[in-house]
Amino acid sequence: MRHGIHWLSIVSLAALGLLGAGPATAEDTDASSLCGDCHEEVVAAFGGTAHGLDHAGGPRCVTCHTDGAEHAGGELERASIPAGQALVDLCQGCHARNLHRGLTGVAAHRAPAVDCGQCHSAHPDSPGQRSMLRQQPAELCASCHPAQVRELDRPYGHRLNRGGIECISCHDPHAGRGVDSLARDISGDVACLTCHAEKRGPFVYSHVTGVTGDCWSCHTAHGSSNPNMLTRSRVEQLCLECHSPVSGGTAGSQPPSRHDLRSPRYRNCTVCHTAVHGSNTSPMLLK
Amino acid sequence: MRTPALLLFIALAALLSPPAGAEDTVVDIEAGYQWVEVEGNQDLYRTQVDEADGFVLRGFSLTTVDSSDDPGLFDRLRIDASGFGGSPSGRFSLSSGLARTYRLRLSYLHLESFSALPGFANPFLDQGVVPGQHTWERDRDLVDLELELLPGRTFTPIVGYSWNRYQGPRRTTYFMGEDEFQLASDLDETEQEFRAGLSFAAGHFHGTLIQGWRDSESSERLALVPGAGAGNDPGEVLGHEVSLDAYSRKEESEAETPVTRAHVAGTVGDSLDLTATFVHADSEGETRSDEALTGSLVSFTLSRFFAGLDESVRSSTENPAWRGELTARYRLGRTLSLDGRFLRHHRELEGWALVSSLYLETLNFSGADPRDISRLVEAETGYERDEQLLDLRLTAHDVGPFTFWAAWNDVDQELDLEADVAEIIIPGGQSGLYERGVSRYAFGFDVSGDNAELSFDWGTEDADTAVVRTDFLERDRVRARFSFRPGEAVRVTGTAEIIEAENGAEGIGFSADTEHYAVDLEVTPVDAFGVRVAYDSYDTSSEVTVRRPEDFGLDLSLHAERGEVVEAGIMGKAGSFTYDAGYSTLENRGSFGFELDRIFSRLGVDFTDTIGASVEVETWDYREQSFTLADFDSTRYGVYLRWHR
Repeated sequence: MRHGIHWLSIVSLAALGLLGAGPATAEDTDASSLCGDCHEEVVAAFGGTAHGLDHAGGPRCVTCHTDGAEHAGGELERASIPAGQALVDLCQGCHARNLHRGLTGVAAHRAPAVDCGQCHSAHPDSPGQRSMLRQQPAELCASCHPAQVRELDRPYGHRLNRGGIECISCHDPHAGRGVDSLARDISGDVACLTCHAEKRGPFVYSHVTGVTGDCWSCHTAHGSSNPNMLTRSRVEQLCLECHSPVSGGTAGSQPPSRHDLRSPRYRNCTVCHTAVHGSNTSPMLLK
Repeated sequence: MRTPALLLFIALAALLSPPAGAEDTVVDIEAGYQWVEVEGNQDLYRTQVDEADGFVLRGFSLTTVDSSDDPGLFDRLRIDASGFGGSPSGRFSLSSGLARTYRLRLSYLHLESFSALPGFANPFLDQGVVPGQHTWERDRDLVDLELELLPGRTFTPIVGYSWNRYQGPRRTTYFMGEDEFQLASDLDETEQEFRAGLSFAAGHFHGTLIQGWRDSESSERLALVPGAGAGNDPGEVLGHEVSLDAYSRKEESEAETPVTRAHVAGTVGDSLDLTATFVHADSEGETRSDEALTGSLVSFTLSRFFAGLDESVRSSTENPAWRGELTARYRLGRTLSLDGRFLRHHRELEGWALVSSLYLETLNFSGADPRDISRLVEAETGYERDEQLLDLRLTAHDVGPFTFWAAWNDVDQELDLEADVAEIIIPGGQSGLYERGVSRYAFGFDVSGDNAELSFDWGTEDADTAVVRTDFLERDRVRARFSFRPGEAVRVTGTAEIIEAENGAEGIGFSADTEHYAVDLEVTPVDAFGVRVAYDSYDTSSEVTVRRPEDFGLDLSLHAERGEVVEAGIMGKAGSFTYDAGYSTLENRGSFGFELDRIFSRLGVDFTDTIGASVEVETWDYREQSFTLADFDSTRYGVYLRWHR
């Protein structure tokens, strides 16, 4: 029955899409064909971009410079360069399929503070520039988020640009704020598990992930002064903050009294509870 | 591993290089040799940095664009690679396509992970024994491939494949018979995912439907580290010396997860944008574990001494989850828009385990009644977690130079943890129904002028209860970000953020405060020269009441980070020379005090338009406040040749 509901939802979504279906219309190319007469270099360079290559149906000059025909006809001195929400609307006209939320109000990046043109350029310096970005992703992110990028320089962290780790390896710049900014894989899991797949489970004895919290309940992802990128410098401190049901009503059991924290061996919970991410064999996450 | 990876990359790049005559081909390759000198703690250097002597590929980039009418297999190809060789990580990516025919993306990452920490989770730190007992040296390899056919057309088939392998040795510890013993582990884990689907664009709607099949396999073998049989605690338990003579465990796990993802976005009329996403994943896993050990051990569960154990575990899990989301934007005239989002997320787990243990040659604590004892435990675990979010935002655009917005959202969480009588051995907090609601109100504005921009936002959240003790009941956040260009050559950016969270409930007393200020100054008087200076201050502290297990007394868990970062750098070009130098110092005076200074300098020279060389020096100086055994200084020298066409 449960599967039936899920498939019904998918079919409904598909039907929703087909309701709006109609034949794809090609842009009028006549006006754009005039642009190269005066802007030869710009048009030539554009031909090498991802937009320019899709001649059969890709955007032409007047797709974005909507008053280009008037400019070519002498009625306007300059053709307009869209910006802000107008640019977002324009880009989403074609790219909505790539942008789950686009730059709408629920997105972290939204016009006018951030529009598509701040990160992407229809006329990039290099024709092969990935996703037509203005700069490398980390440089782009750092231009507005220098403090966050600097966190990656702490002693332990995900080293930016090493092994291909970039801000967009974990964050979806078109998604929401905070936790919602995290990229998700095909199954909806957070980006952490794309690399750290061994922590995905499912485990018979789950610990935190997916139950009461997520990876960031215990870890700081950008960079940390803690070797295991924990939110606390001492292991027992992190564990006891949940595992102290002083007043009850919260999830988290109480360690038995033989865990004498005056002894160094008990200050390191993970020496015995090695399977802290989950176990298939030990309810106390011992193996 | 590192040099073979470099050679493999070079062979692959040669195979994939475009034929001579391809139009607009740009190739850039920089490779060379590096030397590394380390003084101090080599293990910590490898844990934090891990650069090594050897050849290294600093960067490779190939871009070819063919705008002709008959481009052949591809009209654009981009290959990037870096890091293979002396670096602990390497990356290769390929992107190619033919307009309206196909798009192909391929990436490969190789990551080497090393950890041998002196002070972390080390019960013998006080005795000066380093590193700790938890070390690893493992490799991770990731491949991702995606192919779109007929991109840009009404229907676009998509197929993809991902492969993630994690393998290598580690040292860990194992609690058995009232002592801990160090074990050597060898892990080999692979996750693969095939996916296929369809993307469509029809009228004002676009969408994607993807079906994936994920398959995970894991195999781990563990054995007693030679000489570790005495265990961590040399003392006796009930007058009985505890030791392990031999230990072996083999654990194999498999999980299969079919995944369905659907997404539709589109516009209804002129005013309403809609997007809908639905994801469903249904994992099923099985584990087989067999363990055998001999020694002199104690079990308080059995109230017996024993000389051996044969244990087998068979377990299985079912973990269905789904997530549905609908967002809408409604434009009310030219200046107002209303955005809404509704999200519902469900996740559940059913776990079952059968543990069969045969304790060999047992004696009761009086030294009598010798016999073997078999123990069979069947356990069932489970939970259900539901989360629902409603998010509304009203935005007023272009009110003079301002855009104002106000938002409200409401989150309802429900967690149902099932009790399992067979396995509950620690009292409290392991089962029950937990419900939590969180409401958030926020507002903000963006203002932009000719040479300055400012964004400000404030938000406050209220929760009706806490599920875990570090959940807040109240949280406030205020943040401002600005960018100011007083002239073409100067740019100043800054961020200020204050977050305060608390749960003042009796017995919890949780509070967490963060203040973060950062300012960056960039001066670029001419295109060929730039200076950058940055200052960053972060101050976070949190506290929560905890109960000491040994006497059940209450205590305060405190943690603080008080850090300051100062950075400065210059970069420029003079004739055929380019230079780039930077210095940064990070000092943290919090609960875990340390200083980290880094210097980076690079000088490059172009001999011709196509050939150049560069030298690079990078130093790390790491010092911990309370544990000087961790300190290290490292210097890396590199000499590289660059070829550009």
